[in-house]
Amino acid sequence: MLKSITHRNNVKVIGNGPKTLMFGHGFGCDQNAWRAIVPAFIDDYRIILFDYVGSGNSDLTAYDDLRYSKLDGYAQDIIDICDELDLEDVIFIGHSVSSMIGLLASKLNPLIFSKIVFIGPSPRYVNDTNYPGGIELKDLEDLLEVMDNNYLGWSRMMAPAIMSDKNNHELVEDLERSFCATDPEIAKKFARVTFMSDNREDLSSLTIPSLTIQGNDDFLTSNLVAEYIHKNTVNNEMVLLESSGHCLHLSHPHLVIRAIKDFI
Amino acid sequence: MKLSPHNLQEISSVDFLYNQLPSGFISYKPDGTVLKVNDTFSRWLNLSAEQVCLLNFKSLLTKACGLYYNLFVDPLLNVETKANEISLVFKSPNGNIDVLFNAVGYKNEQGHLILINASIQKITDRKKYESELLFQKKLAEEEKRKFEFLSNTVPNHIWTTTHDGVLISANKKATDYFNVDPIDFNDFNFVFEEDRKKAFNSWKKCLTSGKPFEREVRLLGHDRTPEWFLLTAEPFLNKDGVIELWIGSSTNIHKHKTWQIANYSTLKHSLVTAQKTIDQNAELFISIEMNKSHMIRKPLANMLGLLMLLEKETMSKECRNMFNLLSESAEELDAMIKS
Repeated sequence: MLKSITHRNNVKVIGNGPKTLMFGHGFGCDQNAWRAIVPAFIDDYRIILFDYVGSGNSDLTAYDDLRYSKLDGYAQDIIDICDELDLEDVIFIGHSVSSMIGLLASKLNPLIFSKIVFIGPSPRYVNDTNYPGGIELKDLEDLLEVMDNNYLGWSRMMAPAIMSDKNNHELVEDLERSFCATDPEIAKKFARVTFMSDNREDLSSLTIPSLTIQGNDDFLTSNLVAEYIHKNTVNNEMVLLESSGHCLHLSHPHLVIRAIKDFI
Repeated sequence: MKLSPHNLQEISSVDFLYNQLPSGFISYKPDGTVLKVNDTFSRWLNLSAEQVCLLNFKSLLTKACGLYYNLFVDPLLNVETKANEISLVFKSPNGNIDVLFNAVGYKNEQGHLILINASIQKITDRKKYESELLFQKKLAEEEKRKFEFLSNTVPNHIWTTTHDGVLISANKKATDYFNVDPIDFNDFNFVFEEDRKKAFNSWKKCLTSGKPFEREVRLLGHDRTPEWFLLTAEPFLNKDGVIELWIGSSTNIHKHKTWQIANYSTLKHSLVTAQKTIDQNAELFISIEMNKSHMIRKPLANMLGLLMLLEKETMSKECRNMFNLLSESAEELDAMIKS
């Protein structure tokens, strides 16, 4: 029997409201990363939370090397969820790599989103001629090697966190236990796909209103990258925050909530 | 260094141990602000402790390890408040330093991480062994991928089991044929019922004896139609001569086997017909023999009767001799027919 997309992507539908917000988590995390943001919208919006296949409590058996060797495969996860739940005109909020995944989903099916919010986005992480992605290719290769070196130790440490959350069906219970609890083997592949991606040319395909939220001290992206997106995307607004770190939705939720509410 | 009671006290003091043990110690805030560092770690970095305290902890790492720290270690410390045996690389003017990083985080009453105490072990030599192990692991994975690729290109089902017959892997041809993955290998349910028990017992005997397994059986594919296959398995011995696993194959011999069975059936039919013919002929021969015996017996009886009459007649000596010879021959013939 075919398992449902809802099961595959561990989809949670909560909240009430005429409009729907869909939250896409970043690399190495799962839907619980939105725990500081969701309460601010739960009374006024229907909220869709999910884990990409290979992350969090998704069905790991559904992971397919070929499909998820490109961000398009992850974008298809979003489209599948929207199809199964019959969603259209959704406001999509993506953190980090989810920003570009959301953009690709909108490109593949322009009807599903009415607005997109990018938090700490990057259309390309690796530096290129006249493009300051922030990471040299050599650094990226070294990062993948460090991940390899730590594969066994990290997976052993993360295993209890992964296992402990298997039966947790409540969004608000014991959220921290599963934070960043991702299968290490898949995480390595996701890292490669994420950091090797180049979606600069896809920016121009986005015509619906979008918002870029960027912190000024981000180890993965930068204001320069945010400005590049702003400049190359039609209908894009940009909010630069005085903040440190890459996970603004966790470290500075109140600033992120304010920026999202102002936009939507 | 000569040890005196004074020296002993000094070298076992907490301050001496903190600074001089062959481990790095560093305390820093979650944002990377360094609060305290020991002499050993400062020395590895070719800096003074005061200089290290002016730097951000994350800036001491290589770019790749800085990314790794932010992506994985930081969240881990936030969640678990500890990180064990993380392999990291620090920058140093004398070359990068490979280390194992262990840390404990401390949270305030609000649950926010406020301090991290870390110990750092230099593992430059061990790192080389680890790199070699990792290389070998990758090599083994590559070999496994090649074997899987190869086993998927051949038309046979290829499978491996543990030394005691627990299925380890089966190629795509096999899983496609049975339309299940993994295949239930425990009680040979994939074998046609009529062949199952004998095949299973034979397989179990091979597992015990270590002798190669070979048997022609009918397998039940996904459409449950029995098809003839030749099942074979060879034990793979490790360097100590112990069976490590079994490598098996199933070759479809359905066409050949059904042709063979059809031929056997025809041959059997021919043999039965031939036997019938032989039996019929034998009966005929007996009948002929009996007829022949009857036909000979009649003139012989006449001859014997006439000899009995002739015996009473007067005969010359010469004629008597000839009579006796004739009489002996007639009796011999009579005895032959009767036997």
